Amino acid sequence: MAEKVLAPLAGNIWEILVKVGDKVQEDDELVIIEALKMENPVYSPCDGVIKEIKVSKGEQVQEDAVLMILE
Amino acid sequence: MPFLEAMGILYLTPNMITMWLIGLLLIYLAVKKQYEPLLLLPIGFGIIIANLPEAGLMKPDTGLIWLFYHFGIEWEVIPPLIFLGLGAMTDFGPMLAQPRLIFLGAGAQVGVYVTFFVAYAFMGFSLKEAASIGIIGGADGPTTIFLASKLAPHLLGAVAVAGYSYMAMVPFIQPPIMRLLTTDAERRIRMKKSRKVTQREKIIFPITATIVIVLLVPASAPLISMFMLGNLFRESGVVGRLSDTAQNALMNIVTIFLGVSIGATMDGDHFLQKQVIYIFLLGLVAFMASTASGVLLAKFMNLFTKNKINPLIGAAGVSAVPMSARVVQKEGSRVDKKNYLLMFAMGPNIAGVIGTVIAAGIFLTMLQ
Amino acid sequence: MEEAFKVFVNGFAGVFCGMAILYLVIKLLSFAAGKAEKSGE
Repeated sequence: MAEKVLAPLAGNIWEILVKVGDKVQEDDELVIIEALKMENPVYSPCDGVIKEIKVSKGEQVQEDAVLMILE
Repeated sequence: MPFLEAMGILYLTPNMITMWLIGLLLIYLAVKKQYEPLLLLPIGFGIIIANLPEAGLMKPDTGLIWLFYHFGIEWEVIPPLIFLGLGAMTDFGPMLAQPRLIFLGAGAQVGVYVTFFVAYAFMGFSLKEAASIGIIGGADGPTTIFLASKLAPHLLGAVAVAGYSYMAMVPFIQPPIMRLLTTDAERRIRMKKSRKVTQREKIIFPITATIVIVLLVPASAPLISMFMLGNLFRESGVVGRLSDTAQNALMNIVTIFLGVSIGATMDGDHFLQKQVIYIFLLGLVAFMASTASGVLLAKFMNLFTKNKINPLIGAAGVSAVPMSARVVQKEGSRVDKKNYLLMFAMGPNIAGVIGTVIAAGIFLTMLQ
Repeated sequence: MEEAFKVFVNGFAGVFCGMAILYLVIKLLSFAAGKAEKSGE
C-alpha cells in the first residue's frame, strides 16, 4: 500500500530528513518546509519505508504537492 | 576663545543625556535581541543625534534630519512608500481563499477603539492624541506613523517606538491571552482546506479593493492605493523589476529616512514627560485588547458556522505581519503538531493591515 | 465625551462595513474569476 506524503502548506523545501529506503514511524519528521521564515516539519502519516522522494532541497512546493511516497 | 564658547558640551542638559540612554537602549534591543532592528536601530541613533546640543540637526528649514522629517513624514511621502513595498511583498492568496476570515482582521481593530476611548476618557489625552495612541493596537507601524504625524505630531516618536517595540514582543504578548481565552479542544480545531485562488483573481483584487475602499473611506487613499499598487506590481507578473525595487531598494531607502527622523523627533524636553509612560501602557493595552477581541470574534463566529474556525487564528487579526501568524502556528502546533494554521492565519493577518488602514482613515475623517 | 463616543461608534461601524464590502468583493471575484468547481466554504 503506497501512501503519499502531501505538503500541508506551500513553501520552500528547507531540509529533507530521510533517504529512500529509510524506515519511518508515524509522526516522524520527514521534511521541513520553510514558509514565512518559519520552519514547519512535515510528519509521516503512517509507519512505512520511504519508496520515493519527489522533491529536492530548496524547491518551491504548493500546498498538497506530493513530497514523497511511503510503502 | 569663540571656539571654546561654541562647544556643544557647555549646553548639555541632563534630559539630553537621559535621551542618549534611551537611544542606546533601543540600539541594544536591536542588536542584541533583534527587536525590529531595521527600525529600532536608526531610531535609536536618531534619538542620540537629536539630543546633541547646538548641532541643529532638527532645526526647522536648515537641519539635515529636519529636512528628512519634513519632506518624508510631514509631507506623508514615506509611510505610503513603505506600503508600496509591503504591497509588493504581500500575497493576498490566503485571504482570498478564506474570505470569511477577514472579519477577524476587523475584530482585532476593537483594541484600537477601546484604547482610544480609555486614553481620552480616563487618561486625559485629547481626541487626536487618543486616536494616535489607539492605533498602536493595529500593530501596523507605517499606519501608526501616518496617523500620528497628522493628528498628534508631538507624540509621534513615543507612539512609533511603543508600536514597534510591542510588535517585536508579539511572540510574548499574544500567547498568554490566546491560551486564556481558548480551550484545548478549540486549539485543536483543524481548518478545512482552502480553495485554490487563481492568478486572475489576484490581479483583479487589488484594483477592485482600491476602488471600493477609497470610495468608502477616502482618507485611507494614500496608504491603500500604494499598498494595492505594490501588490498589482507583484501579481501582474509583468513588472518584476518594479516589484523588486518597491520591496527591496526603495523600501530600504525610505526605511533609513523614516527611522532616523522618527528618532530625531524625540528631544529630551518634549519626550521626557509622564505622558510617555501612559502611551507605553496604553499601547500594551491596545495590543492585548486587539488580540483578545480577535480570538473572541472567532469564537463568536463559531456559534454560527458549520466549518469551525480555530479561534487562535483570531489573534492574527492584529496586523503584525507575519509575526502574529507565526505565533498562531506555534500555539496551534503545541497541542497538535500536525495542525498547520500558518497559512490560514495569514488571511486575517493581511486583512488586519487593511482594517487598521480603514480605522486610521476614519479617525482622520472625523478628527482632522 | 460625546464626540469620543461618536468616533468610537463610527470607527467600529466603518471598519466592519469596510470588511463586509471586501468580503463581497472577494466572493464576487471568486465567482467571476476563480475556479468554480472548488469552493472553500
